[in-house]
Amino acid sequence: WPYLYQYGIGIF
Amino acid sequence: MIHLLAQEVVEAPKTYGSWPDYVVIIVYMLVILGFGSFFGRFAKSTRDFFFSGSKFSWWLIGMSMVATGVGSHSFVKYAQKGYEHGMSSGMSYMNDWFFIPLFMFGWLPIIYFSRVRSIPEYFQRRFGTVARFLAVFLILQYMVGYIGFNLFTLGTVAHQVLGIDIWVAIVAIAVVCGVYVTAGGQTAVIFTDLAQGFMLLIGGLLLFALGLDRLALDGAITDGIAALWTNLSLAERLPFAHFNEPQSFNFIGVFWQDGVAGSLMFLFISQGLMMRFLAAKSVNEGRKAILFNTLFILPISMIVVGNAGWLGNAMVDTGAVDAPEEARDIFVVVAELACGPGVFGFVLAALSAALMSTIDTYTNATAALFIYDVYQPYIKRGAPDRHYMRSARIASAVIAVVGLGIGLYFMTFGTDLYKIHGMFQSFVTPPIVVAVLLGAFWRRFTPAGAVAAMLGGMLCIWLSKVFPGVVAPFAHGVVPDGETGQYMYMTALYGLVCSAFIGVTVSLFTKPKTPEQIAGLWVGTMDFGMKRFKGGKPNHAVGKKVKANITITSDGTTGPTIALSFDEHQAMFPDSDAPAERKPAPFDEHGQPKPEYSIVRFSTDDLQRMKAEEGDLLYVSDARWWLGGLRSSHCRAGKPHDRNGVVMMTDEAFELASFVKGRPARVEKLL
Repeated sequence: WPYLYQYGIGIF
Repeated sequence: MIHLLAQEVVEAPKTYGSWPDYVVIIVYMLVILGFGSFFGRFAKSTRDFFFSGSKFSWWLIGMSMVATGVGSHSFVKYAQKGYEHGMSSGMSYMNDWFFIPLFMFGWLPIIYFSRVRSIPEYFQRRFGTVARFLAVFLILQYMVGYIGFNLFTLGTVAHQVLGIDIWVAIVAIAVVCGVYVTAGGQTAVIFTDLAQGFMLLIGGLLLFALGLDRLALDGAITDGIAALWTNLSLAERLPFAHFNEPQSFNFIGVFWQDGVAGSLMFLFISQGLMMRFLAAKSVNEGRKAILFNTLFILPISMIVVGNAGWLGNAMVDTGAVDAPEEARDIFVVVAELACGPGVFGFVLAALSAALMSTIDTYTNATAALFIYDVYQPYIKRGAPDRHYMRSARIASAVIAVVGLGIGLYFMTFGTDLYKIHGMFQSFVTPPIVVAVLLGAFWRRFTPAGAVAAMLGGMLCIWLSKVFPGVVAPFAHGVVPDGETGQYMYMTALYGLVCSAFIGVTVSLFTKPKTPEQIAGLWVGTMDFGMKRFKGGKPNHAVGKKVKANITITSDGTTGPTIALSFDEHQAMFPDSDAPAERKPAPFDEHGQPKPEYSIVRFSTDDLQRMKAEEGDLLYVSDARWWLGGLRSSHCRAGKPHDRNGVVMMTDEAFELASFVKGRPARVEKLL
């Protein structure tokens, strides 16, 4: 979950 | 194996460093003091003192940022997290890339080309006096408090590690940093931070290597890595912590507080970092510096600050050392176990490097804020530059003393005020970040919207302290602290959303500034910004660098002038042959002196190789790359001559760039 959340939300 | 382990069991160290360690630390501090003070000779104007004349290379800016980014508490804090949670301790070091596009192509060119010297000055020009006053009031308090905060932190770390009195460490570091920052300004900060960056990287990696060797027993270092890796559980090996628990350390909280709010603060409202980028020779060099720092140095820094915790975890689990009574002691336990006398001192000197590099940056940045946003506009307007230069040095010394006083106050009267400062940071950061971001990237953002975002955002954050339940919708399932009822991390997301909502809503119902008033201050006007920075149409053709020998002549060359050509200079100042007779540069519409560049001359062939034309902005530096631009200057191309490999300049231009007679120069076109 953290990986998917960080790179999903990760705005760029 | 069990027999071997039994031999390795030792008591957790209760004693502190030995005399060779103290010698290493004292010698290191004296070297940094002398090294930093040496650069006082390169500060010839206020702009030199605070921005190093905007002439440094990317690697110098990038490496000096390493030490600034690794704060005074990083080694102890991240080692503790690594000990408790494994390799996810460093996740806040590897989530900064998402905002880099807005920084590289938005904020960096805005501040560089508009020549703003501080965040409040940007607020003045983008939003007006009320916003500037608010920003000065909040940021100045925060920064002076932060110096004291860091001094107190380092005092407690030094006490914990070396056993010396807190006040001794606070006074020693404040005096060392205060002296070289006052003498050398930003140049001293950059060069000492370069040394401190290398020091803390080498010290941290040395500790990692020695710790792995210790874990490997008689095997190769790869056995140490295997021992470290197999000791960690799957959850401890992963790069991220658990999604939303425990409330004291979880992925979602760290992502929004460090990855989003922290990254935005670091990139967009840190006065110290802003000044570091304004010391670069060009926008492109600033981009290279942030690229180098974010892609390569931050992952290494993560290992440097966290490895003592991972090693400690493995050492305790395998019985190589007893568990420390408090987890925060793990750094010193591992450092003393892994390093011999002298080497332990070297690692502690690396820790000192992290401490000093944060304090010197903030001292210089706070002095700049005071001079440019308080003293120059409100106390002493229109004075000659040498007056502001002297005032800048006095301000640096006074700020170091005030920071020292605050650090000693924290020490004497307990940590209530210390906690208040931490809370103040959580109040101030989200609203100011939102005001800068919307100001830089949304043309319609109004002065009323900016003031409302700052005041309203702070009010909302204060409400969340009184009624913590308002943060719950943003909490992603993180539970509040059992004792205080507060949400440790998620207030950052709540504060950003509230500030942005208020700022946008108020802006939609109020009048924005005209496009002419904000030209060069938001992302859609960068071409205008470049044109104003250069004083003519930018030349984007990509040419080559040329090497040239310097010839001193006044034939068609000038010292610093606002004129775009030699003929224009002659028309402006017909009677001013001698440099001393030059009139001060007139001020632009923002009350800043207009940019002045010396006019220098190259051959037609050299100009063609650089793809430069008469009037273009050039960067002329000593050909020795490792000086990083210490001896260099921005110049304007004058009329071409016919001697290839020769750059003609006046004696004044030569002196201002600190060139050395007989040394060739390297030249490139910038705009």
